[in-house]
Amino acid sequence: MAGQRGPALSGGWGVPQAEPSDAELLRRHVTGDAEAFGQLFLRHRDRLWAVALRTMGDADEAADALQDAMISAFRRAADFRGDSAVTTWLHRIVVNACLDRMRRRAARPVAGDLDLLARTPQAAPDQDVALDVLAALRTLVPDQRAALVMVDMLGYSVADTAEILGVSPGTVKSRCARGRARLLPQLAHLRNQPGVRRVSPPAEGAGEGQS
Amino acid sequence: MRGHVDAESLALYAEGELSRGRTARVRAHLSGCPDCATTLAALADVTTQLSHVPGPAMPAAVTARLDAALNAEAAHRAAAPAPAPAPPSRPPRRNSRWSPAGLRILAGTAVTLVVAGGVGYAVSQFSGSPSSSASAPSRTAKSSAPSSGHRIHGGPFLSPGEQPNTSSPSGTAYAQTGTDYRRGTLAGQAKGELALYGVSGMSGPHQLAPAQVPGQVRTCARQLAHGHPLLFVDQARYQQRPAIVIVLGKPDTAVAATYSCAPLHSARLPVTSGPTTG
Repeated sequence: MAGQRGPALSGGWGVPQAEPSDAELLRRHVTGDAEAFGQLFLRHRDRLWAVALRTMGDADEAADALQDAMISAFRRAADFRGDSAVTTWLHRIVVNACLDRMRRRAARPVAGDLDLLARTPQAAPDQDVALDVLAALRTLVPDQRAALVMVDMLGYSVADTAEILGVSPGTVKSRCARGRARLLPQLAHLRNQPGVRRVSPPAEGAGEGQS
Repeated sequence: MRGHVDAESLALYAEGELSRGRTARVRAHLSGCPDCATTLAALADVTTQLSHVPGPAMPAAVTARLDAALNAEAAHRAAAPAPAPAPPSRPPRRNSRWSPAGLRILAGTAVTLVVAGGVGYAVSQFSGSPSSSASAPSRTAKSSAPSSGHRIHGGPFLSPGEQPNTSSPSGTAYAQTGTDYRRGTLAGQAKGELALYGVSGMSGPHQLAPAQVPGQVRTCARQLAHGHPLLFVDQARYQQRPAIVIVLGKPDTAVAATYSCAPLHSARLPVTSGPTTG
């Protein structure tokens, strides 16, 4: 996980030492503490929201999925066995809720995310680019989209993403690869535009993973 | 290798997901094909483009909605037999982290809170049906006889020796006004009712003693308040349907919920001039 620009799933999450751990909060919730689950959710909700929103591509759908997921987690907390990090478990429930919804609904155009993004203050200079990227992302099949959102967009490691999605790391890599290939023609026009910051030239040894 | 390598193969190559033989062939091709090398670079740019999409913060409306849904879930759990002993009452915490966080975000403007159907948290174990408890005139004088005999609510109006048979905090006013609160005017209507019922020394015509309020209503109100001061609980209507409307303090916020404690809408009360706590 070293060098990963994204979040680490296990470990601190910037939680001060004095704060109870995620596992402790979940345990308290199971034993009747009325506030513990809320604390746990508050700790991770922005990240879970980002996963849901970018995977669903629509703010209303994302909110529905996240709500389904959190209520499910609330009820199923006693089933958590501690064989993964609590955050991994939460992410898995959220992603599964998103994928369930996406599979249930027929592919149809949505605009919620675009609308939401348009009101995101920090979106100003790159906004058009971001809108194009999000629109392109919606053309991917759900499995590819979820993998690409987690790895490329939100910076989760392949290993963490694999655990969350319940597939092998190789499957995550190939879903990401196929997703990128599919996005390529849709995003080609954005290359070398002022709004697109090219962070680094392609790696010398192309077999290396992407940063 | 004849021709060019397709983008998918190049992307899989970049991930090390091609077979050894194919990897060698692609590598050999790349060394002599600027076009494919460019495509490979463009694939790396896709990752860059994706990573530059601004991360979204959870909108206040979504925060409020999720808070409310989880509060309702907590209320459901509290109403059901718990597997473990549940704490009888939670002292209000200065930095209570759950619904206050969401409700605090409501500060400033009224935020529409729409709870979609289809989420299985709605509970309906209430003894009285919504319609009977909200519209039946049996419990209270409907429009006349201001405050006849119902001048007890929370702390300020308790007679000596009289115990509130509820764990609700003192200072909570209960009523069954039957008001039809509307989405666009929830905050203003609630403010008006609060002024009538929620101020010490005053009591409106539809005031109820805590004992007259169904336990489920009190439980629901307490759960929706989630540690915030519970100022007012009104058995009323919302958008013409039976509903519970509560007003919380700090910040003053009105919340409408169904009788099964599913939140419907929430809005920050307009602030009047003068110092207010926040």
